Amino acid sequence: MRIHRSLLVATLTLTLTLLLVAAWRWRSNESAVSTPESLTTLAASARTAEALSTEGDPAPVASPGSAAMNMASLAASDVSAAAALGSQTYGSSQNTVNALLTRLDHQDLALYGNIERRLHRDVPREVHGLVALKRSGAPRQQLLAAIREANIDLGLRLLLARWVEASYGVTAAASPPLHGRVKGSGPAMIQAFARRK
Amino acid sequence: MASTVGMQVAQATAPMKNYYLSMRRRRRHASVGHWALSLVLASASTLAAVGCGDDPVVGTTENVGGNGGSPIGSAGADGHQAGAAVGGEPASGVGKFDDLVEAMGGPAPETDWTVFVYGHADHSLSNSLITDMAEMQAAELQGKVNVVVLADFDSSQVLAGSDPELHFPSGTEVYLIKGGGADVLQIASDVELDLDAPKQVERAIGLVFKAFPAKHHAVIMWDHGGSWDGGFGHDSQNGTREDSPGMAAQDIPPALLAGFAKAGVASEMPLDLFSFDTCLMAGAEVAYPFRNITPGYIANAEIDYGAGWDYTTTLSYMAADPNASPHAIAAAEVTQWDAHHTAPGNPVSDAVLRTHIALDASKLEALAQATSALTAAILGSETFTAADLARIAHNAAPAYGAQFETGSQLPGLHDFGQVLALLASTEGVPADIVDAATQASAALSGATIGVSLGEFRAAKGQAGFHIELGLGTQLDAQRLTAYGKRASEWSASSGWGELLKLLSDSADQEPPLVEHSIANGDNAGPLAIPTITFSSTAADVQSGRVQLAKVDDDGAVLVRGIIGEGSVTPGEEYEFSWDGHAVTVEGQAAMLLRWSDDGNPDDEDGLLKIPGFLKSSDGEEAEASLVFANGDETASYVIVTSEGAASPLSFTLAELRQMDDTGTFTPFLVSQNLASKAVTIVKGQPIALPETGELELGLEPVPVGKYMIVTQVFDVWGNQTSTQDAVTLSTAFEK
Repeated sequence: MRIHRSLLVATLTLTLTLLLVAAWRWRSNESAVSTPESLTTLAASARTAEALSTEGDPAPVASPGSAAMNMASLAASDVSAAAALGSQTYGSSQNTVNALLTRLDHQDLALYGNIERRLHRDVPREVHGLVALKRSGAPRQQLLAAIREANIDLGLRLLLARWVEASYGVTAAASPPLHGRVKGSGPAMIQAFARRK
Repeated sequence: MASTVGMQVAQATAPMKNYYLSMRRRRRHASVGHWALSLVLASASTLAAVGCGDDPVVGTTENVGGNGGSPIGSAGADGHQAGAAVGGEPASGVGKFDDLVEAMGGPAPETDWTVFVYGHADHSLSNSLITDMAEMQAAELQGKVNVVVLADFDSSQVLAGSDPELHFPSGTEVYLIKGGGADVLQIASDVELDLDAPKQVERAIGLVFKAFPAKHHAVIMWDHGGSWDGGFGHDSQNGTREDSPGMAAQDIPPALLAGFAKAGVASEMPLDLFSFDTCLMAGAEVAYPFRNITPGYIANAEIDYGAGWDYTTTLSYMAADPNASPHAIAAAEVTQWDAHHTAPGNPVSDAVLRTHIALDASKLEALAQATSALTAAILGSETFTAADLARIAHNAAPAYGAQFETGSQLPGLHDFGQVLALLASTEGVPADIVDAATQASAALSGATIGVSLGEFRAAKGQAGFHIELGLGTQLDAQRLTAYGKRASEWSASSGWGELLKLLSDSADQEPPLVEHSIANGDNAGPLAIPTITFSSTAADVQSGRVQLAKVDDDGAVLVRGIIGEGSVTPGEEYEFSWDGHAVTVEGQAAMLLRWSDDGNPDDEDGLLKIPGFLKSSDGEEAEASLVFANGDETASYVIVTSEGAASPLSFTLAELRQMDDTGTFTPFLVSQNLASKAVTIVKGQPIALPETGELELGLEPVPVGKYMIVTQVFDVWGNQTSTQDAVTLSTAFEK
């Protein structure tokens, strides 16, 4: 019964809602939230990847939640869905989060998170460029070369290399079994004391 | 038999004046002085920032700005323009948060679940919130679950992948996630808020659950977490505020209740499920205040190393079985979280140190009562002393706030289950304390719905639930006062604050007195094994450690690190015989250190490390330590601290080799001139990173010559006495 009542309320208030939205748009110069220029032009402005031989070089692997290098999907989302038929479709798809989710690969987001969480620092400018380079379709070897050439410390360099390998689906070197046991089978390197009495 | 009494150097390890102040210091790069210190002073302790909640704050300033904070404006605090929606102004098509229901044309149709995520990301984690929202977006919610996210980003942070740089928006945004990969909808905007203020929790709960009614309610507080002291949050106000005390955990339940009342949710227990998707919020002091507001409480006792909740799987699970009980969902969430954090790509810290627990919060009162009986038994005991309790606390390890790369940075947070188990099983503990600890342990087990544990923790039988039991010397008046304020509910019900006060009052800065001698210090060899004998009658003595150094002709010592270790009982006499061997890597002399100083020194299963330098093909060099288990014949992990990095990273040698096939590892020894005290690093030969990804370890006989053996004896408060003995090795030992 509650659902029916809600629908009735939604129907009765539809006109009022649309009027409110119209008034709101009038107040804000009738402009929908503009997609930031540099978001829509990132693909075009990204450095064109040099034509390296890609034989045997894997292509980036799109991971869950990603639409890597697909800027068209951002444009497709530029449809205001504001205030129609109550809350079922209420809201705007033009927003920061949607823009990022549409254009960024999961691995790229994870890279940013790793730098922030594990290195405890802001993402350096060089990383933004490398992510844009990857999005432009640069092959793995070019990215690895760019990382080697970048003026960054070794820790970040290693983290970036790990990001490239994960992005291109290169199997990480197998982890030896440090976990699963906490004591080796050889002679102890630290000896225990003996009690004398 | 010749006996030489070595020079005895008594030193009190200076207690840290402020626990968190020390935490906030960034890790120092290894300096020669640092390593030398590890020989002659207490074991080296690195001070690294904790991975999550990395800027816990000093003091207990009350929260301010409970009415929404002040608008920051439409641009980032540093003047950068926001990326999309402009802070302080609603995005087109969406209204202000306060007007959400009206703008929607009334509340949404009732669903089975409304999951509200308090997305407090106004600091270093802005991009991480986006990552988790991607997981939410991918969930199959089938119209049965509404996920609403209140997102406050840090506008001084750069949007991932923007080149030229764009910044996160200022202000606060509210998103509706319908799942199934559908667009994330922004449904409201607000001015820049201070999400550290409990009143913002109350307000948001009131608005969201009024707009999105549901049969079941879940709230997830997403952010940094710092246990009872650091609390939840730390809103940087777009990078303009460094030190916010965060929200004390016990201030949250009243805000939740008030919010649900505003939303018109009339129920004694309005919340079906509550979670902190943060670090360090599964502790007795933190969880207990939630006992009357929700049947299901989910949090991490340890740092969350990055992956957080598996939102896709867990939200899909809730939608697929919307009538599942809160406990069933909580149990499933733990299983899903465990899989999420053990999948390839997670840090080593996850594999070995992770914790995640779901609790039946309604049973936390029983835990508090059982704990109260335990504290009464301890406080009333005439034989069980504060030193005994401190000894047990020290042995309850690994402590929390730990990373594989750094060890524990919050050594005062111990695993409650392990503490109780040690109290119940340690020889000499009075029977009434054993009984009370056993009861409390049963109460904790009874409250546990599910738990995920890293392998170091599982090996020690930990519960994945922490409690404050810090070193007495660190429990100063300021900290005890803070405990009384920010953990007052738990402290009052369990009496735990009195126990901490006992530790604080009993702590001293007096090093333990040590009787000590050496046999066969001269002309040592296989037929005359150099042997240290020592004892201490100090009631608070805890452990001993023996380190080795080679004495050069020019009077400098080359440190080889630890060769012996164990617990020390008052009045007992101990003996340590050096067999003339020391650790090597690929046949080269190396220095052996503990991975972490936590834990029972009698355990043979602690991790060890050998320091060195990692050099990449382009010539860049970074400090690196091989990490391995005691008794390992090869090393395969390395922890790297590069110049400029605030925190070290761990890699497998195989992974490094794969990235750079000309990289090398060079072990080093620390040399100190005993006269001038000048310290230098002596590098070995570079070792190419092998294709096998493993470097060979060994125990090799050392050459004849002069050596120094340093014996350190510690008490439970962190004080130590150090003695040094000269050994002349005339005949080398055989391999």
